[in-house]
Amino acid sequence: MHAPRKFKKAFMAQLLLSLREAGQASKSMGLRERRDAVRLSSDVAMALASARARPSAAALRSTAWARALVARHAAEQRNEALLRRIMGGAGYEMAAAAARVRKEARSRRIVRRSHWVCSGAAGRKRRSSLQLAAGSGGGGGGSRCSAMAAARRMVRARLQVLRSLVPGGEAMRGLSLLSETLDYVVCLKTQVELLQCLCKGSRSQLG
Amino acid sequence: MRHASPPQELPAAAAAASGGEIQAALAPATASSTAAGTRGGGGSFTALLGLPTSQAMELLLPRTAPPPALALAPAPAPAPAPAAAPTPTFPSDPHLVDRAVRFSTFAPPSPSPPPPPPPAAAAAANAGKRKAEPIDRASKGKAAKKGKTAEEKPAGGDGDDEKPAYVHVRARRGQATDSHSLAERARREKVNARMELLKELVPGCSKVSGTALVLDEIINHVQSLQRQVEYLSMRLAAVNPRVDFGGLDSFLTTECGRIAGFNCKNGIDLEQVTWPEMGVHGARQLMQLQQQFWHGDLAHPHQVASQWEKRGDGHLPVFSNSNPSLFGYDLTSSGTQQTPATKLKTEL
Repeated sequence: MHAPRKFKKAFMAQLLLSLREAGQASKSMGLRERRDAVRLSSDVAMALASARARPSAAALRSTAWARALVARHAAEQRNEALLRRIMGGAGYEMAAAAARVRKEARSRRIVRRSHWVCSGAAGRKRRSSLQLAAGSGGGGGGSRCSAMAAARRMVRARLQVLRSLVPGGEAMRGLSLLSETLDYVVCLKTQVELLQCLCKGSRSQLG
Repeated sequence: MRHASPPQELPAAAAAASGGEIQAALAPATASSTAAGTRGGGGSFTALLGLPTSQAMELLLPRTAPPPALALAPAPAPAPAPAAAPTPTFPSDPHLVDRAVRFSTFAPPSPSPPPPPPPAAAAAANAGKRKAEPIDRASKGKAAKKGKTAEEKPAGGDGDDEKPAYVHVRARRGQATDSHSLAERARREKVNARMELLKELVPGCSKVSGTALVLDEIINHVQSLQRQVEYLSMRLAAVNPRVDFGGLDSFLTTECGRIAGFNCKNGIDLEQVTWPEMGVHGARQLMQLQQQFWHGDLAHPHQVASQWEKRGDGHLPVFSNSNPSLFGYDLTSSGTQQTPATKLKTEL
């Protein structure tokens, strides 16, 4: 299950465009700056290509991680010029707006989630035990509760880690988080492929 | 786009087929039900509890107006909608349907019942029959087997026409049937479906069982991919001392063209990429445009040119005169191309 050709095409084209812009924009000599510029351009390329090449016309939505990714880059001031060139002035404005909105939304959600965790702990325990009694088919209900509760805790911890990994994941609940992860992993894979291809190509070209 | 419609219709069709099949297959068996002795009044709730599921289904099915809410609808609907041929997100739609059928959480047909694809219907019918028969046999002893149909029946019988929004879902054995747990079960099904897809995607997850370990693998995979991206970008930056990829045309058309199918004509519409404003205006046109771009053969530049002319951009001469490669146009013209860019918005 790898990315479709359309997406790859769009990604690669956009990547080269962005890289070219990056090269023009910053004459910075530092390796780190160059690497950051490369990474930024490739991320933006990925986000834009994913939005464009996915026929999400039915839902008219783009992936949340894409927006969050670009917003994350836009939040840093030093990227402003480059981003402007890549995405166009209007695009950059939208990205900056999205970054601001995201910050508020994220903090709000975190507060809300902490409330839910604190207050809902008792209710959740009751409900989970109900589920267990119903779902385990009556087999070993007592001894299994703690194990399943432990498993649940593990899953929750890992979901938290995943949230920190996937861009824009802070504000997402379980199901949407998994969908976003799915999308993100596919795009990351193509990104790696394309970057490797570029690397190989430029290396063969130069020497 | 033919792939989109059958998967979307599969769950509904499977449900319809299995429901009908159960009804047909178990109709002769209903006469021998001993639960008839426990049956009280005609429509009372407790009486229906004693009914075997086949009879309950039988009573229910002819009466149900097709409810608009499908238990499965949220799961496959967003899945097939982006799962048109190009999208990688939910490719294994038969997978989802398969799971749905196996777990016997199905609903009566949607308002627009499409023609069921025969293999799916047959598979669903078999699954349904297999489940229904042991259920039927066991229901004589197990009065605890209640379908949500039983609970729905009184309300359904009264106001079936006014309240068509019930989700008629068959519950599994020994499980609670209130709406909360059913909704939770539907959610769990969705989550399991996503986990299956993720397991397919991430290598080395198929032998691991259990959500937490799979999530572990996924996290590791994502982290390694991100690290790879960083490393590769560092390498790219190191290889090109000026981050200037102007000279890559030649190798692109050979190497990466093979891999990514990159073609020079893709560069034309890239200038039009802007962030979405309240993007519906022009989004449709953009979608069509992009369809044309991405579906059409890229060896027909005049087609592309005519598209641009229709829009009255007036920037056509720029493209036709420029070097037929991505880097042909120079940066000075990019400023002038911003204004038509705002007309065409991409949705993000």
